[in-house]
Amino acid sequence: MTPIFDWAFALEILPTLGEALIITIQATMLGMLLAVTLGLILALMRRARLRIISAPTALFIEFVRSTPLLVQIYFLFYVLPVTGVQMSPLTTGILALGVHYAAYCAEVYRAGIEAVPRGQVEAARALNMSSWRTAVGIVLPQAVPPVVPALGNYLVAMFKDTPLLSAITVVELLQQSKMIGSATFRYTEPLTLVGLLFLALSLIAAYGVRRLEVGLQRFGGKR
Amino acid sequence: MSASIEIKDLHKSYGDVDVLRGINLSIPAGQTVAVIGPSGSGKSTLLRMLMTLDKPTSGEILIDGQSMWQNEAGQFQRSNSPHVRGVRGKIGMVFQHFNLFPHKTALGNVIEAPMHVEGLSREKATERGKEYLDMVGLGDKFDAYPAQLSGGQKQRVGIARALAMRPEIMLLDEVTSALDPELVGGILQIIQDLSARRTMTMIMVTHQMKFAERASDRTLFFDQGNIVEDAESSVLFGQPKEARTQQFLQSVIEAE
Amino acid sequence: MEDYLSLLPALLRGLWVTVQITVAAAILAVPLALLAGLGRMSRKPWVSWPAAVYVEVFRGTSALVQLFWFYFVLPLFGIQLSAMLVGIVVLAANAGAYGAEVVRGAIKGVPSGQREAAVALNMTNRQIIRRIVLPQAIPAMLPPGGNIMIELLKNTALVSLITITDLTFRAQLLRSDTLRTTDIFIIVLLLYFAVALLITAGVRMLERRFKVQ
Repeated sequence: MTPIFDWAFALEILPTLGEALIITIQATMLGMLLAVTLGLILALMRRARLRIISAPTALFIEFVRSTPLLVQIYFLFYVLPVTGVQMSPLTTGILALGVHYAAYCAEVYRAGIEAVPRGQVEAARALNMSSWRTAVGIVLPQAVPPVVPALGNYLVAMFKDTPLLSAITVVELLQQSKMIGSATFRYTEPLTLVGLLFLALSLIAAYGVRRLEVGLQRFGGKR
Repeated sequence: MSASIEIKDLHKSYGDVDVLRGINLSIPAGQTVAVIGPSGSGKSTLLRMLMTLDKPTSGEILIDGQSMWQNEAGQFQRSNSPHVRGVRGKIGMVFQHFNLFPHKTALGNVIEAPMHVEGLSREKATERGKEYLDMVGLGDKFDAYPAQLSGGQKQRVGIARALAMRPEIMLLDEVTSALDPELVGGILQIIQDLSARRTMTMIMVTHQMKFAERASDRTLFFDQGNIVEDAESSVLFGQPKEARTQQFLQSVIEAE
Repeated sequence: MEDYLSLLPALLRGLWVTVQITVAAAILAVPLALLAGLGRMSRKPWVSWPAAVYVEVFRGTSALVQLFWFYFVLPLFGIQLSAMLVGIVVLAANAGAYGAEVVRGAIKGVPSGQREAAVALNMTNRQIIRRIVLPQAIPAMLPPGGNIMIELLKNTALVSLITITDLTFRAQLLRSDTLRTTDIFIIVLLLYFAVALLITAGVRMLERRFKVQ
């Protein structure tokens, strides 16, 4: 009688899962890099004074936030090759994650920027600073630190979304555990291990974000 | 019907901070007591403990001879237990910041407890509620929501709400401190009238010195967690014995 | 235009399944969120601990992993559930866990003076929560609750990976049949967007209904 959970087997597959974990972490890191950069650009575009820039941006952000990430991943995976762009599944996945979470980050940046008191901008104007200098030197350094914890939370959320990449054949943790399962007919161990790994890592990351929040207090925390 | 209060060696600390350092006090039924003193002296904490909102760190509180937190066998009871609720039913409180229920009308606020705690029917509770709202001068505001009332009106609802449960002891925690000056007099008059009826034991924490002298039988001066002076009101305000009392009263007069 | 219309019948069938799952999971998630949120604040450890574990596990792990785990592992414990049921229950549990934190935050947000006034009037704990605290907490739960509902809608797409024929599944089928990838996915994205807008409108209606005067 095979036991429900075979510990020996679990230990056996750990290294294989470890390789997949590396892919998962890669996807998360690169995806987040894209998200925080693109998110900032989107946030600034949304605040543009020309409606022809701000309105479509707002619509885009709303659209991306309200539709399933899985469908967006499929969209890029199947539609991009048609337009001639050839990317590996992993790259496509990172792009999809990055764009999806850029929309979330854009809203976070927006909240941070709007929380900077108007007086700051007025003072900069009175000192004859250009719009660019005001934005980069005065507003952003005050807008960003308070929202870093929120960005950190999205990092954790993106990490938990990486299994979606299994749908486009990226061999991250979930895909790897499915492969183990279909090869050995033992799904319990790989899936449970993956579940526990996610739980452990996201708890650690959440703890890290909280420490970060406390550490950033001196730059002006939540208002 | 009013109740007596007995406090024996009451201590209260929050972590490292000792807020009450051994209070001994005996208040006979029907007396009106004013409590004055600087901020942080423990006056409000004492009231909160009498209202069962906080438990003593050590010491005892007796209402009409009955221990607030211990049953006959001396076992400590929980806040939601029949024993504590039985004691609490004799005590009512009016708050500095009103604490009215924003999702209920003035009448709704007043009948909430008579209906759901005392078990009165809606008709009887409404009858009683309207009586008390009339008494505090809000006969035309039964259906107003707290957001539509002025500070003075809100506090009147607060008083009516507490009275509607017919408490034997009434606690008033700086009930005029959050009001605009022109609204204070109205509230003080209501309290003075209540006190004159002698239907309840009343304890009021207040910064209104002249009012305290006029409306109370006895005054306690609190400082740093202790009762520094305890005397008949006219005596404490006219001829304070303790130096600290004198200093405090002097500084208050200068502020006014 | 003709072209697009020909794609619709199959996709709408999928949309119907998606809507069914969303509604069923949402209905299940609300009581879960209330129980877990209130449970987490209980002083009895045998109530607060299970609630905390439930919330942390379902918030801390990936929704897709949860779906797969329950789909593959549950039968081994002798529990046979249809894929549809697994989808609904897991998504409800996921949303309920996030909802529990919203409930907790909203209840903590009710001013402590409200509780004190209710205690002063000698109300029981149960009465205080039901008649004083919750009515004031609910309006604060609606905006974040609405966001959780939209996340739930988005998560339904994941059930396509455990063979449920929802909108995303239909899209994949149609894609391999007709190879009209771009058209299909644009329509699908628009359909999801439309449902999301409906949810947002619905939440806004609820916000107006539950306004504290």
